[in-house]
Amino acid sequence: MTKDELNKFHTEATVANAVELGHRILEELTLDVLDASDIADIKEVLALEINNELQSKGA
Amino acid sequence: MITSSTVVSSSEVAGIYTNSGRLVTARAGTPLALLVRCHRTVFSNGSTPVDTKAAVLSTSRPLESEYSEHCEALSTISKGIAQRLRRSVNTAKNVINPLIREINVACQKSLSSQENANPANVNIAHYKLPDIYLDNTLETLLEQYRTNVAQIPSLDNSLMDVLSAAADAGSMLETMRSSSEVFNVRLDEFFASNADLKYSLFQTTNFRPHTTQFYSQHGLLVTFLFLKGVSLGKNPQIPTGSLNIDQLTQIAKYLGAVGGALYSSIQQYSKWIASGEFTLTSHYPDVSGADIGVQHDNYVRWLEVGGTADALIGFYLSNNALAKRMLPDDRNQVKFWEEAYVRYVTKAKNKTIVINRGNVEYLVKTTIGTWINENVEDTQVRIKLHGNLMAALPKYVYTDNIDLYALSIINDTLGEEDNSKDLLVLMNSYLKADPSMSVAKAAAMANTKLIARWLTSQMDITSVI
Repeated sequence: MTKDELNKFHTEATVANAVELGHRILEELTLDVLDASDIADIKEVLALEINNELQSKGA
Repeated sequence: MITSSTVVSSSEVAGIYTNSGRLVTARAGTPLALLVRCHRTVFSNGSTPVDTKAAVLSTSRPLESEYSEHCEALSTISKGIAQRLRRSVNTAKNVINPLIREINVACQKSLSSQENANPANVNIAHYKLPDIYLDNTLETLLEQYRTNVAQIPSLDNSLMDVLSAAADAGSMLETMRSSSEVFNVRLDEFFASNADLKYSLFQTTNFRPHTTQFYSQHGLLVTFLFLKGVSLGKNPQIPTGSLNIDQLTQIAKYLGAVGGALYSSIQQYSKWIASGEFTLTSHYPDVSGADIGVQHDNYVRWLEVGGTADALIGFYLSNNALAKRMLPDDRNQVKFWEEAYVRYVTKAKNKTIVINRGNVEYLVKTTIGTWINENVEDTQVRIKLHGNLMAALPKYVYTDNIDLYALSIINDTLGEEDNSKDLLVLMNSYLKADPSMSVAKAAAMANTKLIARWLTSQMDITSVI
């Protein structure tokens, strides 16, 4: 794996893990706190929110 | 294990950074770093280009029948964070929201009571004596009593019984009529527009000119006309000769005193009208139910030549001695007192705001304090929460957002390191931006935002160019 590929892998793995972890937390919350019918929409929103938060960090 | 749908939705975000030569990494020691570290090592011969997306997917998956550290970590971390968020949601729902609602109700109550007591809320009551008071026939009847200043005496019970029995509405009118048609018409109008005048009979004590009693109850006039008619034998139920000398003497003395008081009052009223003055406040606190009493005709005349209600109220509010005279045609005076009115109202409003601020602070303090006393059983915890409350109060200043002010103090008081405050602030902003959004949806959006914040707080971005 080249250095570029490794960097790309790290970035994609970091963001993918963040999104996956976020999805799992949301799924946990649909057990009692959140409305399960909204989960698909909310999962979509999560990736956008992560991007927004990264942008606001000065990225 | 990362799902393929996650890789699809995350690759767009990751692409923004990889395409611009930036590296996103998980900060060491964070839960996110732990997850990334759980990926199996990527093997490559170095010559074939690596599909990094596929690698992310595959390296997070366990090999056949192998224990997956990644799956285990993902499950443990997500359960733990969800539990924390669940606690925040429950605190927000079961403690903070009810407290804020209670504080709002208390503040609204307090605010409306202050508005009702707004000193600028001045009423103007119009006073005008019925035409019969200025009738020539009445003037003639009163002429012989003009010098009387005697205190109004009392009548024997037996005489009162006789007179009261002869004072039904029909007999009263009959007793009061005169030979003047004009007077009789005014008398009929007087009775028609003043209900229950029979109850004013003998209501002559505690009388002072220019009081509400004088303008609304008409006790002096009714008693005078009735007794005058009785003494002239006009009451059909008390024929001439049916009263003894003592009773006639009592009636004469009573009539003399009432006649003198009535004459004097009408003289004062006439002079008042002739002067052009119209205010009735300075020395007559009995003008009750209103702040300013005005003589109707003179006041209307003043309004016609440029006077305004605002100027009158400004004059009233600015003078402790209260209004005695408003010049009928001085435009500058009207302008001056209009400005005084505006100044007064502004001052009153500012005072109300200060009172409100103090009140809100007090209501927040007492509502939270009561909640602590009623809901926290452990004495040590109760003492700690009261301490937190006292420390929180001076930290925040109420401006105009009760919810936010109360929320900050409640959050500090509870002292829990959870996200209930952030959750409610976010929900509030979503609901404000889109009033049609359901509370459940706003809660979901707020939780998502908090999760995104938590996740990105574990990421670092560096340039690799």
